[in-house]
Amino acid sequence: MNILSIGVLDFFVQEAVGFKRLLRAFCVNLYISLVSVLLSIFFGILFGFIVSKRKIFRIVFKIFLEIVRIIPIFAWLFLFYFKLSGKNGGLSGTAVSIIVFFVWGTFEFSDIILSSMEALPKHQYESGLAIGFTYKQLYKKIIMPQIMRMVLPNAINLIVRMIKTTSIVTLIGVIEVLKVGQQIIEYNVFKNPKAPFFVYGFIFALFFVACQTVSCFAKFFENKFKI
Amino acid sequence: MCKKIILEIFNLHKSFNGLHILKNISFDIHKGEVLVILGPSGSGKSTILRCINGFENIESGTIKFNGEVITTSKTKWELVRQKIGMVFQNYDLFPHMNVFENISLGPILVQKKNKSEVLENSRKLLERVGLLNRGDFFPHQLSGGQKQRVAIARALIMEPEILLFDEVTASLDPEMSREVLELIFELAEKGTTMIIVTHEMPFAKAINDRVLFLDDGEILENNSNFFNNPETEKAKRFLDIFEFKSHKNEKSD
Amino acid sequence: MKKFKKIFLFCAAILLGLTIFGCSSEKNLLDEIKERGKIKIGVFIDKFPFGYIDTNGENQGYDVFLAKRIAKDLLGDESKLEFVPMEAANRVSYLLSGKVDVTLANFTITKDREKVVNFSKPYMKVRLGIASPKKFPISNIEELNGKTLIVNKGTTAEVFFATNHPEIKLLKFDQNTEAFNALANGRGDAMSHDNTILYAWVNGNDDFSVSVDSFGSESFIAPAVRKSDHDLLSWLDDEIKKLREEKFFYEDYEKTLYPIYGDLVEADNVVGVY
Repeated sequence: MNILSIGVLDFFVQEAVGFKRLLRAFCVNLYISLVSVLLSIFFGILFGFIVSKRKIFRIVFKIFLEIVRIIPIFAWLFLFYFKLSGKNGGLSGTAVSIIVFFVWGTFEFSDIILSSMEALPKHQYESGLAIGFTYKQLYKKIIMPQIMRMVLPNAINLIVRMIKTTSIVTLIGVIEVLKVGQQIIEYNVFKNPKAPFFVYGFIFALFFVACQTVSCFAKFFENKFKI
Repeated sequence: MCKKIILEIFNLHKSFNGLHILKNISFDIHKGEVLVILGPSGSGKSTILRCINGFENIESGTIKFNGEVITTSKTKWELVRQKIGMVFQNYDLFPHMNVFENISLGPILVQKKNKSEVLENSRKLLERVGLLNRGDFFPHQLSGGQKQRVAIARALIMEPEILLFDEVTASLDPEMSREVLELIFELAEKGTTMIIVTHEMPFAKAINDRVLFLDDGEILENNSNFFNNPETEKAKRFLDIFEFKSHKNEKSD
Repeated sequence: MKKFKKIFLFCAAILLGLTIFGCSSEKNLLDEIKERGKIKIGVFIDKFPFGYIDTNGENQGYDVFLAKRIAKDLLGDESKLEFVPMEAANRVSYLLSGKVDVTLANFTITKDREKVVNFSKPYMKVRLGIASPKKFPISNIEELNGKTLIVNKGTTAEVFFATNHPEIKLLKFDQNTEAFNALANGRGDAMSHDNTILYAWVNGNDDFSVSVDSFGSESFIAPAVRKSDHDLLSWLDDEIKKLREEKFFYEDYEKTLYPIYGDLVEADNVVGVY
């Protein structure tokens, strides 16, 4: 029985199911990204403002930020999943992924906010106050719009990076799109060695669409708030 | 001429990082008066202005505006600053808004005035400062002098009772300085109460009703005829800095 | 606000502590599995044909076939089984951290691994071979000197060459497909892997042959458990012995490996007497 040669067209027909599987697996990537990004944005902004108040906060923050950055994400995932879990299982891979991405994202977002606030000229605060603005009015009309202008491109960058990095969660057993891609490719290792081309091509398209959507959303956000 | 006293300062002391910056500052301003504050760098001139407007804390002393003490811990500075306007050296217009928006934001947001009324006033003010055709421009499209004039208009539209000017031409070149100083002159002629900190001596000489001469945080002179008749030695030496005794081409044969 | 922060931190610390230490029980694992009603077995999901996912999304493969039988014999039903996907790199971590009860991820017995886990009886034999282009065949290991050898990461072949022949330059890949493509594209002079896999591949690639049928000693693949789980180990030892007598592994081979290898490989070479 020779099942070793299957043509390209046959592959597509047979693997239509495969593409569906890839799509479903990509939802895992999207889920992890979405949850951690939303949480990171919220807590990142909060954190960023709190840290900007005192110099000592900033110093401590920068130290922790470097620790989070220097240790690779997969090392954090490994640590949380294998070393810090209880004897009988502990947290699921997806939960650990979201936690690690959330912590990473929050630190990075806070840093973006902090840098933008530091980049804003101090005189902007005084110019606004001198006209009789309350702090609330000042932040709403003068400070925040300017900070958001600086934050937005960096934020998009970070979100795209986070989406792309979600493939790493394979290491702790989360079945995401790259892993399913590898499953399909290896299943075809003798039958169709050209499989990687189609599979990775499709995966690339998925990530591309996701990242472009983020960019479009950002533009929409920009226009809506006339930033 | 017994004009109403609009601002009173009593025994103001201010320290910063252990340095005693302002020592027992006391003076008054009358309505319509132009007070110029002069003195060497670091003598505390800008600091006085910033204390009046609540941008600096004071250790002791009182400031009264229209008879009301404004140096309490309960002072609502946003209300005071609507009456006491300030223009800074770094103009700092809001970069994400055009000239019209920069000027009209204050009255609309803070004073809750009618939008069309405000826009009309903005137009009038822009005309007054000579920038009517720049209303839709953004700050980065303006020259330094133009930006400073917009900053002044932005302060004027709030209809303050006193205007504070903190070295507003220090970052401008002579031509641009001129257009700004001329504008301030016009305001003086219209009777606006002003306190001006400046290094432009000819301008100071022409515009002042009174001069406060400061040195090392203390008021050495409070003189309405300062330039012609300085009273103290230090003041005389200060004025000498700006004089050149001999002309290069004057050579005795 | 300060007080609230203190309480929050205190609770977080407690939670962390609980998570770290878990609710450790002294029960033996076998009883626990029976109580749980499910056995957690670690398998590969992308190593065709030993542990992989078919087009329907189902776990299949030589290891998986055995896993299902184990679940059936231990708990009465094939479905009382949870497949936990593994990578070659994290098999030991998964086992030691308690996330699986047994690994059936084509785990080769080595002295180093025996230090950290306990292996049960072997259920598969492996011999290493070398595949190379017919035009420039490599007939023995000495000929690899100065040449590039392709291996798959985490396999017996990689371990063999890294340990015994560090002078040979290795080109390592994560997946079989990548490794084979590299061989086909001439990125390496030869490839070393389980000879059964090599035979299956050269069958569809006429320019290549298995130039060294087997070298080194035989390796054995066996289930692995934690050092502390003696009860499960005994049960597995008995089970594998029983299955051997039943010729179960020949059936397993027939169903999962024969369709790939065809007549290129003798079943005995893989599942035969140990």
